[in-house]
Amino acid sequence: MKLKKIGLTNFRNYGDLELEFDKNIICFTGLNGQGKTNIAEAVSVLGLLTSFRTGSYSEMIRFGEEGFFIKGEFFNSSGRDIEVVISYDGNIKKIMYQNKRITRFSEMWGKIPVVYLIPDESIITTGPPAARRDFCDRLISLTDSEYLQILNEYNSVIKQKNKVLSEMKAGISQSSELIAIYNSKIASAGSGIYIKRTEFIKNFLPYFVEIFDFISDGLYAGNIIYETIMDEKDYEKSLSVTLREQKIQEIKRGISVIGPHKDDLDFMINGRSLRKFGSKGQHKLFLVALKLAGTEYIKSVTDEYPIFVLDDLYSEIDEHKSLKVAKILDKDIQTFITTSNSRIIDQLDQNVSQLFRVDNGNCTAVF
Amino acid sequence: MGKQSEILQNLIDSFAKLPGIGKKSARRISYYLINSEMKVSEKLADAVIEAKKKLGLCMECHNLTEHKICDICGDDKRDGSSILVVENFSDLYMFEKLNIHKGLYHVIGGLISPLDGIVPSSLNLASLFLRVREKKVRELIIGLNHSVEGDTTALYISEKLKDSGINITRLATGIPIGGEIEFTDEVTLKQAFMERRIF
Ligand SMILES: Nc1ncnc2c1ncn2[C@@H]1O[C@H](COP(=O)(O)OP(=O)(O)O)[C@@H](O)[C@H]1O
Ligand SMILES: [Mg+2]
Ligand SMILES: [Zn+2]
Repeated sequence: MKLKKIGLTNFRNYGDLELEFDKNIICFTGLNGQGKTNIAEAVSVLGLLTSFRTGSYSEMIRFGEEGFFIKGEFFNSSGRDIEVVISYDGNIKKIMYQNKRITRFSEMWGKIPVVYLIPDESIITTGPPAARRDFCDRLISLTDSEYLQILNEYNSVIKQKNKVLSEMKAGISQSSELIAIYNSKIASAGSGIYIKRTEFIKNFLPYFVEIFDFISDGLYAGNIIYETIMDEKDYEKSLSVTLREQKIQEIKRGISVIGPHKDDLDFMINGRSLRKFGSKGQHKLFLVALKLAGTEYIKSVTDEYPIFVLDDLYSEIDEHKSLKVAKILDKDIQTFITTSNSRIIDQLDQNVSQLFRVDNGNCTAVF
Repeated sequence: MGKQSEILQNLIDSFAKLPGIGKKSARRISYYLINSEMKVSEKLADAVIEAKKKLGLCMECHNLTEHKICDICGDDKRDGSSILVVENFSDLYMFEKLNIHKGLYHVIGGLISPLDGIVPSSLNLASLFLRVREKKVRELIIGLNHSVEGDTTALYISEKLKDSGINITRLATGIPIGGEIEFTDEVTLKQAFMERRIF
C-alpha cells in the first residue's frame, strides 16, 4: 500500500497542507515541536482511523478551530486507487472510503494497513500482559475481520459479566443464571480467540526469528510462546470447566479473571524471558523486530505490504541498526520517517527518497 | 453575547433526552418549531398527548394498542400456538409488514444488559413464561438482534423454557452480526425468518 497524496486542513498545527509522495522513503526532519509527528499521526489515522497518540478526535483539531479534515489518496499493489476522507466537526466523525460513508470502524479496518513504530511503545515488551495481547490482537485483526468481531463480542461479554459480578459481590443482585450464560459465551468466543492467536504466532514467528537474528547481527535467537493457564489440548473445555470451578472466586473478587483476556505472550531471547532478563537495548531491538515482522506477516496474509510509520527514528534505533532496518524495509514498503537528527540527510538515497523540512506547521520539500 | 433563554434551553434539553437525538438535532428541531407557525407546534403537542392518553400496552403481548388487547391478539384467525418474541414495537412492525408470521407476538421491551441496568426482571419475560405455560403454545420464535445482548436474552429465554417441551427457534444470522432488525432490508429479514433454526 502506498500513500501518494495527503491533505490536512486544521489538523494539529497545520492550517492547510498538501503533500505528494512518489518515493518509498519519506522523511521529515526539523526541530522538536514543529509538527513532524503530527504528519505521521495523520498518515496512521487515515489508515487505521485511530491515532497512536490519543483516543479523542477532538485533540487533533487545530487549536481555535471547529473541526479538521484529512484526505489520503492511496494506491495498492494491484494499482487500484483508494481514497479516504476523514472529517470531524467536533461532534460527528465522517469517514468516507471510496466516496462511501463508513459507519463502523470495522468496515474499513485492515483495508489500509499501517504498522507504526513510535517512542514509548516499550510497554509492549516491558509492560503488563495486556500490552502484548493488544499487540497481537491488532495484527491479527488487521488481516482478519472475523477476529475483530469475535474479540469485540468477547470483550462486551466480559464487560456485562463484570457488571453482574460486581453487583453480586456488593450483594445487590443474585444473577447466577446470567453468569452461566456469559460463561458459555466466554468459553466459545474465548477458544476462538485462543485458536486464532496461536495460529497467528505460528505464522508470525518465522518472520520474527529471521528479522531478529538479522538486526542483532546473529547475536540473538528470539521466540514467542503463548502463555495460558488453560489446558491447550482442549482449550474450550478447559476454559469452560475452569469458569465453572472458579465461579465463586470470581463473584468474591467481583471481576472476571478467567479467560483469554488473562493470557500472555512470553517473549524469549536466547531461551530466557526478555521481560525478566532482557537489557534495555535488547528490549528495543525486540520491539523493532516485532514491528518489522508485522509488515511481513501482513504481506503474507493479504499480499500487500502495509505502510510503515517510524516516528522519531533515532530514539528507538541507533544509526548502525537503522541501516539494517532500512535493508529490511527496502522491499517496496513505503516508509514515513520522522527525526530531529539531520544526519539522516546524508544517508538518504535521493533516487528512492523524499525529504521534507518541518518548521512550525510549515512543511517544505528539500528533495 | 447574552444569556440563552431558559425556556429555549428547556425545550432543547427535552428533545435531547429522546433516543437518537443529540444536542445538535435537539437545537435544530427547537429552532424549527419556534420559527414555524403555531399550528405545527400545536399539532405535535396534540399528537403526543393523544398518543400518551389513548395508547397503552396489550395485556397479552405488550404491543401498542388503543384497547386492552391488541388487534393481533384479538384476531382469531391467527395461530395462537406460535409466538414470535421481539424486542420492541418497531421490530414487531417490521415483521408484520412482511406478512410472514401467522402467529402472535410477545414484545419483551428490551434486551438483557446489566451495564445499562437491564436485568431479566426489567423485561416482560415473566408474562412470556406464563403465556407459554398456560396457553397452548407449541412454538417460540426468538426474533431478537444478533448482538451480545440479544444472544444473552435468547439464551436466557431458552434456558428458562428448557423443560417446557416447546419448540424454540431463533432467526438465522441472515441479519448482519451486530446489526439491528429495524435497519435490515426486507430481503435479508425474510431470509433470516425463513432460515430460523433450532436454538
Ligand atoms: N490540536 C493542535 N492544534 C494546534 N497545534 C497543536 C495541536 N496539537 C499539537 N500541536 C502543536 O504541535 C506541535 C507538536 O507537533 P509534533 O508533531 O508532535 O512535533 P515534532 O516535530 O517534535 O514531532 C506542538 O507545537 C504543539 O503545540
Ligand atoms: Mg515527534
Ligand atoms: Zn397483543
